[in-house]
Amino acid sequence: MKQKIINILNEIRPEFEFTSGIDFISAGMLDSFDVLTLVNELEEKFGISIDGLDIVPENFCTIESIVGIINKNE
Amino acid sequence: MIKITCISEVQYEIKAVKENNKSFITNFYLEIDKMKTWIKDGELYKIRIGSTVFFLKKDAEFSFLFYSSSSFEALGDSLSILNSKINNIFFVIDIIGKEPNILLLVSLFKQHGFYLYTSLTRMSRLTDVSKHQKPIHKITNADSSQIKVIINLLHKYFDPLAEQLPTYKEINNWIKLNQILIIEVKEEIAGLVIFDLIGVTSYLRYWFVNPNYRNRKIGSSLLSSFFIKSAKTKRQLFWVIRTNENAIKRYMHYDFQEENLYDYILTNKNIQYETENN
Repeated sequence: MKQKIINILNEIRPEFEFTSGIDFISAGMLDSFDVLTLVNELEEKFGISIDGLDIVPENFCTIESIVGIINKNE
Repeated sequence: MIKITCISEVQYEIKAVKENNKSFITNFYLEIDKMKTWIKDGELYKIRIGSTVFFLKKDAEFSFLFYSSSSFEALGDSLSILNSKINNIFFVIDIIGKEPNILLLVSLFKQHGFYLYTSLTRMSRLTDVSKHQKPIHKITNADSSQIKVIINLLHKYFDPLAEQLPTYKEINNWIKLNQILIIEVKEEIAGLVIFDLIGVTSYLRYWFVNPNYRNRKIGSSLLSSFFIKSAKTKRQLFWVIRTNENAIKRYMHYDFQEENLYDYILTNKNIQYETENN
């Protein structure tokens, strides 16, 4: 699952290297517009619907938090 | 129209329209800190119409309109009701996205009483330290005694509908962070750059040369200083009005490229951006 998430992130922002343990938002790798693009991509590629209450940047700022939000909404 | 008093109200509204619908669409990007400030200052309102929730951020003369809707069709239905219900508010809406997808949304708003005001394109470049040049003018950090002058310059030369002018508090914050650089001539601000540094990205917010001091390489000195300040970032980016061909040419000279990311600004008044603002 982690590699699939990294592939999605690389499609959104190919200029950065997305790895575990980095906070992508405070690191300036993703902005609020990218987060919404990411939500759409995750929903489409994982076949899930992410709860509106979960759409806050902190749920999408690391690989680990994205894994957590996918598992929660599966 | 209901005033929002806490962030969870926003989240519950989004949850309600999003529930069980995968074609959810929105232009309400999640900048929690900014949203909290709007709520604290009593500036954020909501209107729920069918499967769409509209959020309004009130400004002095107009309201920024945001939407979260369960689908494209639902948004169209809700927009026609919004227009018939509320015709005394001057709405300004930003629709951000990639072409051609975004054009469908722009067209939907036009069908429901909105007019294209102008559009912006996002440009970016990756940092190339080898191309940094030293500014030829003396550059200093703005200080808090200059906040009012800076506000006046921004309000005089920038467009509040298209360029989201910063508040006193935001300017003060940039000054504290040394993120407003100025060139002064005879104690007058001849030019300035305002920027944000967020991790590996730097955002050029405003780049301005007073018309009285143009053609003296003040603009290029300011931009050089911005690049030097951004040396530790990996990319620089900003939004520019698409009709401002001269500015776009200048940015391309500095290796900026358009990203195919656009911001269409529409209003419910039939007015257009005046190119002489450039």
